[in-house]
Amino acid sequence: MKNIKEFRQAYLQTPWRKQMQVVGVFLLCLLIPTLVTSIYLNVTVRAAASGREILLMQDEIETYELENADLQTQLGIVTSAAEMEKKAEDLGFQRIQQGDALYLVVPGYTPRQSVTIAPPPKSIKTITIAMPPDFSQSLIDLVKQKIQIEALSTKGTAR
Amino acid sequence: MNNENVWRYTLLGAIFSLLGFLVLGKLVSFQLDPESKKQFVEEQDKYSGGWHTVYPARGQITDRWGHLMAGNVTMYEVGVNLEHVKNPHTIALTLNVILGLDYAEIMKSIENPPQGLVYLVLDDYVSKADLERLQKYKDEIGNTYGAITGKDAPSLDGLTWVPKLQRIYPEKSLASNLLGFVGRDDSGKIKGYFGVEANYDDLLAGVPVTVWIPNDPNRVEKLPTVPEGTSLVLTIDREIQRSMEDIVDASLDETGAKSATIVVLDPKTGEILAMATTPRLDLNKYWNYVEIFRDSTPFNRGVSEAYEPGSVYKVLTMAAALDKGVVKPQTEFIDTGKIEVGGAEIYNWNSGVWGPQTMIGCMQHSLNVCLAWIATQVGAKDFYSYMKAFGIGHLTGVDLAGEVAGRLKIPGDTDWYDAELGTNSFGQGVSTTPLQMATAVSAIANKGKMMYPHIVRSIISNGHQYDTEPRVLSIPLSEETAVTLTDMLAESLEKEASDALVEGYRVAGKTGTGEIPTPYGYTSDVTNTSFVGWGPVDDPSFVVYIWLEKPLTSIWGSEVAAPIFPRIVNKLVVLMNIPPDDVRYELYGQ
Repeated sequence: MKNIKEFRQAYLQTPWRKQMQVVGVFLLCLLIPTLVTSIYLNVTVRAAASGREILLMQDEIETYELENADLQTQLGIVTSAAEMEKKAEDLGFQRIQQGDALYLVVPGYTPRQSVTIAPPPKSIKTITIAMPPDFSQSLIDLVKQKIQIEALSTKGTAR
Repeated sequence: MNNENVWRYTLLGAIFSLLGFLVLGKLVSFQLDPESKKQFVEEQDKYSGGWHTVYPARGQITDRWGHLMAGNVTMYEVGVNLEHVKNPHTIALTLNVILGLDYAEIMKSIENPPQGLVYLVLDDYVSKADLERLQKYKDEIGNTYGAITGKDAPSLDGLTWVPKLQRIYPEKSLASNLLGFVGRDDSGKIKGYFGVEANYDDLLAGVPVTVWIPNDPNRVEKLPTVPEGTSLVLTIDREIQRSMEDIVDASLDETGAKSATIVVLDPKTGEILAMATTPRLDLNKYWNYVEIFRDSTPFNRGVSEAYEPGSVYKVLTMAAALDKGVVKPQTEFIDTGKIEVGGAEIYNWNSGVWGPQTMIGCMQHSLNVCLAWIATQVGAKDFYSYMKAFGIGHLTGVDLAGEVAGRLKIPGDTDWYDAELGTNSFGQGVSTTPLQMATAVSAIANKGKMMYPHIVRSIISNGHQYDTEPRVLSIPLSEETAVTLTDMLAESLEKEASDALVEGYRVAGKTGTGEIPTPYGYTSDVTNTSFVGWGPVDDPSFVVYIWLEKPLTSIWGSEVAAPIFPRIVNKLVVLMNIPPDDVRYELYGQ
């Protein structure tokens, strides 16, 4: 009891200690929101950047789809019947007539099959496209994940 | 604190508190009042993003080997954002030079836009090449005059463009009557017209999806997958189609016919290998449709125009009689040159008397009297039952838009008379489309089974290909009858030394000459001439139907339609890899 009184007396006699305490509490109050705000801002900026990137990628996909359609059509035009016939004639070919054909038995020959553009429905394989966790995880989840990754990488490098 | 200032601080505090309470009160009232809440949400939505409709690319159409028949190409809609326009003169002048638009009209549109409009469409379906020139010029203007301010500084600010897909047909007019085209209806909606484009319009177009695109990147969500429109693989062979169209055009030139139509079917599957007719349209210039198809001209005569086929119909009459067992190939009929059926007198095509004839002779000489007699032996009830089983008077159900059913009057109809049995037996008083006749005859070529005629071989949807399976439409006669009749018709062609015979291949077939009904009776000076044939008779791979409307060089099918058949077959056997009969037998033996 005597010791406590002595300690209190000593504390009262040095006011800078009390000022330090006030400053300390103030800084603590300032630091915590700043820290939280910084983390929040960081995550928000990253999310916004990802969102923007997605928008740009969607635009890019649309552009590629249009280009793809154009290229397919271009291919269709340059291989159209009239174009192919013209090219063949330019190369010196001529249309075969009924009497010109020579028929031979070719073992293992399979007649021309009509086009297969896509696989038949039997071969359907379910592919689940998972949404990246960035879209659904909370801030706490993110921190947990980072800590786990950090812990794992530390383990991995320890001897 | 100075006591004199206490009241000031108190007053300020009260004012700020009151303001705070007012703001708080208003916030609470917004939350409680649904109307205010709705209004605020609407206002928020207006600025937080926009609705965007994603139109799937229209499905492609290819022939059976994958050659593109209908695809898509990028075109551009050019417009202006009115609030960003700095110099309308530059925009009008640029569009006048590059796109050929009217300068005055553009100036008028930009300077006096309709009230409340922020975006104005100036041109649509601008080609990629033109747009690249526009882009290049816009960049040059921006680089050169971008730094200059002032009302008169050249500027293309506000000029903008949006890409979109437009239908294109790489083969132009090839198979146009089968494909149809894509245009816009009265409401401006994109729509398929005629043929496959119309019949499969919903599938090809796909389902547009409207999504909300937020401006706030934090609220961006994955766009829903908008599957492309369904693509189609047709049964037609581009090369066969092209050859048939060449023959159709040549036959018009040679015979002076009003129109010509050729249908080629695979009798075993019902697949349409080719359907060529006139007139045809460059589908990339579909707006010429009205000019080309005048006076209600059908887009595809193969399915949309019914006519009285004449003697090719005798094939069906003979099939019914053989199948019912009332005649056999060697049954003898004594032709007296005239027969009365239902009070009407029927004569042969040349009004001649042909004397004793077998059934093969009746077909060889195409004797109306003989066939009318056969129909009476079958009896009206069974005759019409057979005709219905052959699909006469009914739609075949082919997957092409605009099919008509033709007309088969049957006992019980108010306009059917007993005499119809006689005239129907040789293809008068009954109307059919070329496809109906080809389908009916394909039953004989396919050992009694009539297959459902179809144009789509496969459907490609959501990344998977679904092949259509051949379906039996009807079995109007037995295999034995079909084989017997095929042999009879091959023999009749050979005995007649017909122009339809094909060197190296045994084929079966029948000519037809049909008089044309008018409000004043039947015409004899102008006719519809036809030929139906199939081969090789031991294993038929094709059925060919030919129709020449009102040829000028001859009124007889045997003289104008029959000679076209070997030309067609000579093309088909090459394109379908069918060796001559002797070679085939030799190859089978190895």
